[in-house]
Amino acid sequence: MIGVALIGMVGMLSGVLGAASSAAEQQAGRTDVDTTWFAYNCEFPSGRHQIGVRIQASFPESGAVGQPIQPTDVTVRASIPEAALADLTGWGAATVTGTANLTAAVAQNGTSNDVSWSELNAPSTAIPESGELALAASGKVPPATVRDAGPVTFTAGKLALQLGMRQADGKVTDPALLSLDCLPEAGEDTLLATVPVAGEETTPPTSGRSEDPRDGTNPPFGGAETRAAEDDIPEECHRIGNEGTPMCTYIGGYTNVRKLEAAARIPLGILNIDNANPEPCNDGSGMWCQTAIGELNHDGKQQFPPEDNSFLPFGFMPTTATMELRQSAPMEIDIRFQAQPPFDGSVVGNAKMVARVYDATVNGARLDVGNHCETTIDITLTADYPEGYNVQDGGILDGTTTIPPFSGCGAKEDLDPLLTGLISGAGNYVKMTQGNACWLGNGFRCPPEKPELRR
Amino acid sequence: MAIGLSATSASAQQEQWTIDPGGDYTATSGETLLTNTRNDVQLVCTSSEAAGMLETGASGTPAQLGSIDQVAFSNCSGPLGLTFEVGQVGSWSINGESFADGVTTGYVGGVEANLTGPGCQATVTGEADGTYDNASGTLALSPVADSGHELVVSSVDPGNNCFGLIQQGDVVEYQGDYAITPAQQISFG
Repeated sequence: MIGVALIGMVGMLSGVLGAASSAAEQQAGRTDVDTTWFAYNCEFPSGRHQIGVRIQASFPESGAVGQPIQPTDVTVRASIPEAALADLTGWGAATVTGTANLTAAVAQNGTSNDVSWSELNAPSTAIPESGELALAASGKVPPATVRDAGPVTFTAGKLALQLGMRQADGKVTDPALLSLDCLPEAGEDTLLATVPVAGEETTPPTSGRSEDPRDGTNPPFGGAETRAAEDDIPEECHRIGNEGTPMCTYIGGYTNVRKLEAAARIPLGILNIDNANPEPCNDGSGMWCQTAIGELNHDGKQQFPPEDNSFLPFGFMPTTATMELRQSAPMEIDIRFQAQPPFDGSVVGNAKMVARVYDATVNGARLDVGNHCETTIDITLTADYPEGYNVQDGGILDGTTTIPPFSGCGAKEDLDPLLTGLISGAGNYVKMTQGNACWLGNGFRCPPEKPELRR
Repeated sequence: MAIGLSATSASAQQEQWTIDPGGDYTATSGETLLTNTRNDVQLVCTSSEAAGMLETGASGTPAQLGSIDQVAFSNCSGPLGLTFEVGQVGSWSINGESFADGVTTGYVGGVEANLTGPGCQATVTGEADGTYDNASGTLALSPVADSGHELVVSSVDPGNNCFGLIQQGDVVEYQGDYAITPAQQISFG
């Protein structure tokens, strides 16, 4: 019988509360959680079997509003009893590789969002002649970001295991893969950790201006500003092209889904921008024109961080889904401006995005929309330039977009009409907040500040 | 021979500049403008302050009448939200070339200034035209046609090229009206 220990629930008034934990060790700023064995029920071909699941992870002792809470060193251990292995050995399997996808519920103040810990891989492991098969799947997991103060809990939910099987001679078995859907035993407390989040929205210290290389310049006089020491430039910041002025910034926001009377949060991601040198527009207006190209970068992919996204229901439609927004083409930011004071102008941003929806629930029931449920959205945003937005200081870009019909939805049935009916339509207000620019050429105002997302 | 004597005579009777009271001074200006003559792009600072020393007398033209030892510019910006600081290099000279009706015409010489801001690092060097009016006590820096003095962008960091709005070799014009304290009375003759 796999029990539940509540050892970690007591005694730690600050920092991570490692719940259901047999060991919760605090390191500098982080706490390592090692749970007891949780009971999970999995549907094997031969029927339901109970397996043991134990989770190890490191959590920050505390979090801040608007800042990612990043679990690290995540390992999901699965102990599959001998009785359940008969299905595998019956196909001639001698070794198993595994991929684990653990759904972690991140909850705060009575609301909960599911986060997918999907990139956990277990190395090839021999099936023992007798006894249990022990798999250990490790990998990176996405951070969670919250907008309010209060304790944030991480709780283990559904575990999807995909086992790749090979015979003793190395050949794959037939079938080669076994997919298992496993749920915690009813009543099992699978709380992993509680991270306290205190205070108001915080942003990194403003760097202001960094040290400049003005050799020979006289000491500041009168109102001359002093400059802070140069800060690091985030890893995800990079030059896109070889010409123009490169910079990077944080951008994120909200998009309303009018049909749902809900808003989807687009978490802050790094946008690299290459500013082409402006030229006179030559259209008789006397204005100057500049086109900037923007590329998102999240772990090397041109997308916003996916796992922080969720629809935020505010009506009576309890519909949730995780949304991943990726670019299908670089963003174009067209700026028209006066070259003389007051430097007025206008800005138009055009983005082609692919919105992928997954981990959906409707009326509390899980809706398996599959891994390719998506639609392509053309977004045009404008701003009050330059007071409300300019390249250097950032600001607000907003507009209204149409969400076209979805395709590829439904793992087992065609859910395109459902998703399209729920979400697709015109008149969806989008409001993006861009932070200040970090200038890659000289490190000014680096790292970029993470702006508070305006609603 | 007569020509030679005449020249010698003129040299001997070189006219004199008188500056009253001279000595240490401070100067303040409201909005200042730097205009790129190549493309009419302007950079603006909301105010500027300067300090230095004035002679009490000098002779001939041009004559150095004083120096700008310190100068600062506040809230400098340009198109596209560009912001920058202006750093003075060395001490600049104040020079008189002509005088009429209480107005001295001359230039600020030895100018070297670094423009430094996000994505923008450039150096401007040269001379800036200006006039000083005894009646107003104001040193008005502004271009004078065919003066032979100019400010030039002597270098631009290719990696921080101010969006290309400023390029090496561009001729720029400076405008700023500095009220001098204490007010000076300059005469020449």
